[in-house]
Amino acid sequence: MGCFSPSWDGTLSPKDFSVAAHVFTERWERNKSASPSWFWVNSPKGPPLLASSQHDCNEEESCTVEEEAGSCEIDGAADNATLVQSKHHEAHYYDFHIVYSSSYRVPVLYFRAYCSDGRPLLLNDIEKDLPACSSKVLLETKWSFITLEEHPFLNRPWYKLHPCGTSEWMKLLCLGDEVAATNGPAIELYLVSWFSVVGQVVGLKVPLEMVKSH
Amino acid sequence: MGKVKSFKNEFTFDERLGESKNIIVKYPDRVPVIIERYSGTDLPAMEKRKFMVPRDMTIGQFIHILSSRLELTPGKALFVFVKNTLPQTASQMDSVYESYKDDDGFLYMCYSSEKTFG
Repeated sequence: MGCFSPSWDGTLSPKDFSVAAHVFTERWERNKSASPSWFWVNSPKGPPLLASSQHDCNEEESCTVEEEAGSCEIDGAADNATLVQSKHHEAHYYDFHIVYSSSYRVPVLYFRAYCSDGRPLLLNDIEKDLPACSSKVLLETKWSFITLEEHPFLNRPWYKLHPCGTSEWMKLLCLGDEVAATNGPAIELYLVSWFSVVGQVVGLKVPLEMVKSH
Repeated sequence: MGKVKSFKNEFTFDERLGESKNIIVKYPDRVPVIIERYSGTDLPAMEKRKFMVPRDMTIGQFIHILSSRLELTPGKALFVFVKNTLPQTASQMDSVYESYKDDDGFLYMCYSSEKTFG
């Protein structure tokens, strides 16, 4: 399997993207703990993209995915004792796409979120769903650059993690390894490393076993 | 670019292996960790690079300790990674150690400052 040169700039060609993404999905499937699964979607305009949907997901997520939609009407002088609070918990659905960006030459995470009735979630609601530890980090480190943009293939508004820092931190991750520092990083692990950063933002975990060398 | 390989350069493999074994025998509830600065980062160097971290401590707690030791200015992000990945902040040192430890018995972590998105 190929390697990048030590002077590598942190980006990926469309072909390398496919290679790395195949390794990523294969390792992801091999780990039963990893959920949900990823599948390829052919796109008419460019290289295929990886897609995944998350419904009610893993245990940790399920507490945060549920959102308290409190609806109680209070008339001017409502008596607290008789006020009936109606709360219902609603599941949130997330769709994730990993799309190759030809302008940045890196993978980009797109996602959309909606309720069971199809109503899309706004960024405020999504922020509440993010894992507590990362939403704190998000605030501190400005990881929060989540923007609503047109999905490159679907022409619908999807949220996107802005990729302008990606090649820099990928360089850091891939060249930090001693083998990689001399021989150049391995292409096939690009997406695994990439997802260890990006997945944390949206609360998807990369199982530790996925990164182990074989 | 690359990691500063001071610890591995200073000691032979056998010395390192002996030391990590000693640590684990003496402190069975801790894991031996070497934390080194990524060259090319503007962060200060740490006084100490060898840590004995409680096994049940999370990565997030450990990063918090590191950032207070480094006396980072507010707004400066600490990016701590192991091998090719950014470990989950919620994962325990114990499991990270078991997955990523070097043949010499130490877990090598690297820190830098990097803006991630946006």
